[in-house]
Amino acid sequence: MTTSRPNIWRRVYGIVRPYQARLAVSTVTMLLLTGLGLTSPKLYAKLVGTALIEGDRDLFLICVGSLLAVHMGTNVLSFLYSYQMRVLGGRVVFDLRRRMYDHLQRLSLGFYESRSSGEIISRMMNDVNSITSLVTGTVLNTLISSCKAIAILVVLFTTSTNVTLVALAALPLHFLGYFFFSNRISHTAWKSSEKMSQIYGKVSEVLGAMKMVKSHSGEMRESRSLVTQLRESYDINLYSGNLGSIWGHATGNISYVGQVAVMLVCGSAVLDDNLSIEDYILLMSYVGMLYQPVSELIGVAQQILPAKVGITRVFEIMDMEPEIVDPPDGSREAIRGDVIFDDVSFAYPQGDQVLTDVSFRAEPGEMVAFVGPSGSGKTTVANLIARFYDRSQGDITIDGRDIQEYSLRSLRDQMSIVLQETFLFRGTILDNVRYGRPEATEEEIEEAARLANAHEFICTLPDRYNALIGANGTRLSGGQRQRVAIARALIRNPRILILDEATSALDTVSESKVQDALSQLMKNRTTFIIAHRLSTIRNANKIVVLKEGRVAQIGHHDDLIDQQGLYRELYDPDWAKEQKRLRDIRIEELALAALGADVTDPRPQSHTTRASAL
Amino acid sequence: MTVVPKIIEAAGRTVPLKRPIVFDLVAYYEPSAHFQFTRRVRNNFDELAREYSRSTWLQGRYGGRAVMQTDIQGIGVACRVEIGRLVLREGNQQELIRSAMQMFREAHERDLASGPVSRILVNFPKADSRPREREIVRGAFNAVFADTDADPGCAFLAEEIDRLELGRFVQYQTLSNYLREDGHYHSAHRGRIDKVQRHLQQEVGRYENHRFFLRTHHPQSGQVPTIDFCYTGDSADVRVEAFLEGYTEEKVRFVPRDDYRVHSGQFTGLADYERASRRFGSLWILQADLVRRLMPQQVSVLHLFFDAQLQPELTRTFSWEELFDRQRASAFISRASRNSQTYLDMVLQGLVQNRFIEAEGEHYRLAAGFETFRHVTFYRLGEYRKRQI
Repeated sequence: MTTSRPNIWRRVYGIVRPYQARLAVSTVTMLLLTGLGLTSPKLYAKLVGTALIEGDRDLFLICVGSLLAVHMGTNVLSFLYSYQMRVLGGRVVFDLRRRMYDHLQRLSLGFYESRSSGEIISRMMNDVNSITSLVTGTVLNTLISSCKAIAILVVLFTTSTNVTLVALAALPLHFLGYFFFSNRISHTAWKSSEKMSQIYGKVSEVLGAMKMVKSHSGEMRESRSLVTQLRESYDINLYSGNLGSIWGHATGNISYVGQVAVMLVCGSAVLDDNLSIEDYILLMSYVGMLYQPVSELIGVAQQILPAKVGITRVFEIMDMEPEIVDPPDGSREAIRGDVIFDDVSFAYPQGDQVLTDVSFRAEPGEMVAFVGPSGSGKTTVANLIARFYDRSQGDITIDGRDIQEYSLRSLRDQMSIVLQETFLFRGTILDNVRYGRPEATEEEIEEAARLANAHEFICTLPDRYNALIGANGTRLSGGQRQRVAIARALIRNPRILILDEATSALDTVSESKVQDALSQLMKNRTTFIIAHRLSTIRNANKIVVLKEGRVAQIGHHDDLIDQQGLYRELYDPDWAKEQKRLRDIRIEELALAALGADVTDPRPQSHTTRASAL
Repeated sequence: MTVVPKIIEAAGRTVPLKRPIVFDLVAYYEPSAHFQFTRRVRNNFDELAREYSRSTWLQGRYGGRAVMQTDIQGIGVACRVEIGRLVLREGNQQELIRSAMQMFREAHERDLASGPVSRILVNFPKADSRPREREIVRGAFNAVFADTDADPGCAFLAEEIDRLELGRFVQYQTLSNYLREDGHYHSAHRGRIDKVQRHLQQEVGRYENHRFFLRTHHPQSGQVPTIDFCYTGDSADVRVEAFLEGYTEEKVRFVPRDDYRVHSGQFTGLADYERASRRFGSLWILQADLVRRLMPQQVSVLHLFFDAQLQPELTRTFSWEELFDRQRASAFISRASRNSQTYLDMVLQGLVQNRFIEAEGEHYRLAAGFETFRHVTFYRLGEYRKRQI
């Protein structure tokens, strides 16, 4: 089945459709305003051309009174119209931001890893705003200006066909202007939005890493780099503004040329007594009014073009689908925690292969540790267990059922993850622990904190559990933050627990406290632990040693140390050093053998000294 | 303005007067925290600017005299110089631009700027569609900045219609080869190269007198190319070969320095191969003398213009609907965007703007000359000096 190309305006209408009643009221109000606007020239022409010239006092008073009534009526209707527009705009923005935020929550982790948070914020705030201006100002103004132009044209044609044709002679010049400026304005609007996104991204990144920036004396560098971006943004906006301004003024001049042409034609007709003063005033007023909607339409085009860019950027996000698909009838059964990886391979989208044929089993209640050099794929295994990503090949089962058959929510409800970089929300300790299970009582929270070895330090804080901890828990030490995070994980009472370098950033005292907390947390749960410290992993039931995305060794600590492989290299530095030395000597010997030298040199020289001599 | 001479030309008369072009040149220097834009430096710079100033009949930055821009007080001062050149006569162009570039260079040599030139930008109207003018700029650039024979070609990075950045490039293979992954550069070897590179970086002292690189063997159709690790230096060193094989399990072959010089085209640096074989991130693509960036999502959408055997359908025109149908079934498009119509619209628009494809109403086809587009790495002037081989 072939899909037809989407119409962006139809989608915009879809956003506004819930408010079509309000839109209809606004349209009627605007039409009334247009109608009232059309009566003013007529009344004015009557006043000057008839009442004053003929000295008709009654007619004069009626005209003045009517003009006053029209003016007041116009103001009342204008207020109503702008009120409707404010409400409509506000609701559309509210709806769209809510929908976009909901949608963002559903998108997979891969999406957030490919875009900066600043860029996403920019789309949600700036670009959504452009839709408001489009809906409230632009769409309706287009309708109204078109109606106004048609109404005036009808009036003009009925008054004088020749004059109307003269007035319309300047119209093609407006089209030329449109063709010249529209693409340029669209392009600069695009660049401006992109640049703004980059600036948002840069600012949010730098503010989030202020400690790192300061520790590297990078303040000046960051200022400079932002200044460069700001200057580019300034240049783009200046160019864009200049384009719009030139177009606006060109439009004004073209319109005036049309009016002057009519003035010449009508003026000659008055001088030749072919046209009355009243008709002259009437025609000139209407011709003036005819170009007003044309100018408005040009102005609308100037708003539509950037707005269209904004809408496209919003729709791009809204159209994305989560890469991790939640099965509609996914299993919600309680899990025991029997996790099996069977020849699992994984590559990030458009990236290198990270895991190749990884197989292991974690039985319920077991503690499985992953070790290996940086980049060996340890965290990726954890990401696959939590289903942040789906494996490329192989099978992952939990309790004998494919991981993809579980409802995502049910699966993650039965898991807890503690990361090296703890994230705490701005708020109280209570709020943060409760994030793990919103329905938890204060007693349960306190119990979790006790198990996490956090209760003791919480009691020393002025407001205890209600103490405010600042953005990302800045008022707590690293160890304290980690223990709050463990309490948050504990309160979920998970069946599967993933600890990704949970203690690696801590000092010895904090680590021992956190370690105690973790041993409480790991009881009777399947635990996956990623750590570099031997003390953390030596008690694991199973240690999976990963090297370049493959399982190099698997077994218990004692067995692996005996095997003299990568594990021992990692956790017995003296042995590793000696191995490297022996390897160097072996290679030297090979090299010497290749050179034809006598390897069994009679001189009393150890392998080491010979190697160093070389 | 160009219409009038054309009309007159059409009437059979020659029109000697050409439209004047303003070349606006901007040089950025490596910023330095230690550089102070003192009164002495300022005066000396003004003197240098006077030496190189040319009358242009214009004001402001096009006024023919170099201006040192100070972005913010105390930060990055003296790191940007702007100079305008109005050119009326064709013969004068290259000399005028060359003198501006010479001035950029001299500002650094006389310690009047914060560091060596890191970027050079040139602005002139419709720069990305005027190859003749670009050729003139390139000639001037080469005359001033071609320091060594080893410098590869100069190319223009086209980020804007009117503004180009001058830089160097290292070219790898055609874009079609990259998309099919059937050229010399294949991601299958990335692990091996990574291992060797890591070892070389860990054991710097051991290999400091040698230079390592790769020789690739052109694959037969449908096969992965093979690579040999090679090294060059004063003489072959068995220990180097043994150590490298012992630690990385890669055999390295010695290539005498003279052979390397003569056949340098056959060899690729490890870092270059690594860059060329990446299957992620954006790409630099050389179109004649212009380098344009191809974003990852654009790379994915370009695959829609290829047939099932991954051959570019150069002459075929696709309707939007056809492309969308292909997108929905394409393994090259991320699952998140596969059903997104806006995604296709946005990416197609970007591809048209960067002239990878051409649009005729609602129909699209690969741009003329697509088969000649090459995958390259573009280096700004400063970056090229620092690049790792």
